[in-house]
Amino acid sequence: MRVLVVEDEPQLTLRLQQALEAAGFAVDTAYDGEEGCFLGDTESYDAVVLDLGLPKLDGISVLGRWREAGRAMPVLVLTARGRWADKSAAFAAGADDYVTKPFEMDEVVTRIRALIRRAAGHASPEIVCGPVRIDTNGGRVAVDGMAVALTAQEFRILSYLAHHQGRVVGRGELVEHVYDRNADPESNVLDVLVARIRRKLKAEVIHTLRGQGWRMEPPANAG
Amino acid sequence: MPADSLRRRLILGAGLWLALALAAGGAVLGHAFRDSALHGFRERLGAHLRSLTAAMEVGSDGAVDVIRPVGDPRFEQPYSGWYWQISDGAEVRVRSRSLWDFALPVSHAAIPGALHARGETGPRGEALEVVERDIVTGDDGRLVHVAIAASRAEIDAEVGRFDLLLAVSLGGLGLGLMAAVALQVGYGLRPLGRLAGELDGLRRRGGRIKGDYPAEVAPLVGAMNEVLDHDARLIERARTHVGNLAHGLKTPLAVLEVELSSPKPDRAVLVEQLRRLGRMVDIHLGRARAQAAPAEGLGDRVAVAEVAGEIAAALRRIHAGRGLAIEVDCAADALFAGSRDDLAEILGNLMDNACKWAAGRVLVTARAAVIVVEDDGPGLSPDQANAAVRRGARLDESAPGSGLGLSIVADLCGLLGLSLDFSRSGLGGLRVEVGR
Repeated sequence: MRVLVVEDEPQLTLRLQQALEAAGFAVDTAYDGEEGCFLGDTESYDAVVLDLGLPKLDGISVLGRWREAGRAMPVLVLTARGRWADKSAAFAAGADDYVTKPFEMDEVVTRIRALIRRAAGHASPEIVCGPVRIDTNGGRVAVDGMAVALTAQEFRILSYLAHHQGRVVGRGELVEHVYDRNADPESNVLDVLVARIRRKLKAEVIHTLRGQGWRMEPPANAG
Repeated sequence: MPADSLRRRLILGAGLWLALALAAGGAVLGHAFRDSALHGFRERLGAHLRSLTAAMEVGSDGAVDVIRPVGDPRFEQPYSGWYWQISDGAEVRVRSRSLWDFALPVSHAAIPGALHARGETGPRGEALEVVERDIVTGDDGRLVHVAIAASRAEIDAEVGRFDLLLAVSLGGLGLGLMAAVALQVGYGLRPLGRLAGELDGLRRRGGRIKGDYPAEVAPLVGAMNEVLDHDARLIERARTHVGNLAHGLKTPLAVLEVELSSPKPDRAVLVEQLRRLGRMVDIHLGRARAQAAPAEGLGDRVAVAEVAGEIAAALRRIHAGRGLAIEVDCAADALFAGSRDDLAEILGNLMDNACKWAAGRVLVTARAAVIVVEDDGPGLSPDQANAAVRRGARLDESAPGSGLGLSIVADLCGLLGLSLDFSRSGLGGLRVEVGR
């Protein structure tokens, strides 16, 4: 899962990036409204953390431009402006959630997870696929009740496939959503990682469709 | 004098009307004098005509003669400007020496015997005033035409002298009146100058505007004093709040400093103190907004339905995962007397609080000036809500959870003169009513 953080305070951006990466997200950052607007327009993100008081272009305008351009990724507004007039303006512009500063890092991470889940049509924080249970809040994976240890990158891949289970996820799409924009993975890295996830899960839930990508679904539905 | 000032406007206005009035008066007087002078001139010419008629003799053969001088020696001086002439049809029978060989054009009066006056051009091209009449001579009804003419230069000079005198007099009068107007305007505007001086002094020393002012300025001074008093109260409150905030921040800051200086700071203590600081800032920010707001929205009327709808839309997203039914039922005539931001702050906090406690339903209704927000949760009891408001007021930042929003609403309602009542809702949860 890939998240964009648009925030002009470098220290806060760094902490948000660290917290989100620790929670298993690939994170891109932007320090002003124009850069943030450009990234949100041209890259694929599963969620965005957006400050309102940004240099060059304010957050409400950035959000408005994304929504006008049809960019539908969930956006969490993170701002010091706590008045309800500001909040309703942000929601009217297309925000999905609103957290006022000061905030707790865990709350932001939890809300981002909830936004991504809801955007993918999952109401519960636990995503189930056959014997595999993925706790998106805790970042834990269990197969038939037994915990499975995955690396951060492996969890990202599994989580993205699980959020979009039943649908073919292409190689390009998976790269876009599990790596940040500076990463340039070699062509077979994803194959290696997916194979490793399969071995660790010991359950046939990830199916390779040659030339198309991967599809995650419970073993009984595999075709 | 600045390009746009009351003094300039008043003086220019008075000057304009004065100039128009004097010009009209001058024109009427000048015209009246010219008429009077011309009338007098014609009277004189008429007298000469009568004298000429008396001196005229008509012989039995119809020959006409003037048997004695007409009176004014200028009739004897060639081209003197004073002429007489007696004619019979187109033929001149006798004329004054002053005419020499020039013949005045003859114009027969409509009624024999009646005097007739007209303008004419003299032998030297001068403008003449002619008074003439037709006289019946003898029994055969023959008419002779008798005319007296004199140069108009005499009355033109007289009228010119009068016009000059009139212009000088009216100009002097105008200047005098303008000076009086300037004095009057200066005297009338003096209280405003004094007021400006007072205000200038207030910038340096503060306080209010003192002294007696005329009835027209006194309400303005009263209103300014009210604004000054309002500002003074706001500043005083702001000072109190800054003082309270500064004192309130010192304790958690001291705890943080002590904890951080220990070899192994307790993370839980740090987090707790930071939360305390954050809550305190929120309380003071909310209160500062609430107290600044009423001055901004004086006279505004905002439709409750519109703002409630926007906030409901925001809350549906915030609580998207809970499947809450947030219903807004506001009459079109439900208007809030204040700024849109105040209403958003009141409704936002009340509806957010209701959403936090609701089991599945939040209802916002508004009729006329009464707004009700209620929920179906176990939520706060009316007593707990009142306690929460008091907690906010006492700044007891150790209290966890809700209360801050309600305390901001209570502050705003207090400042806007609105009532705020808590009761048990028919839905099962808390019912909050805001009204006049």
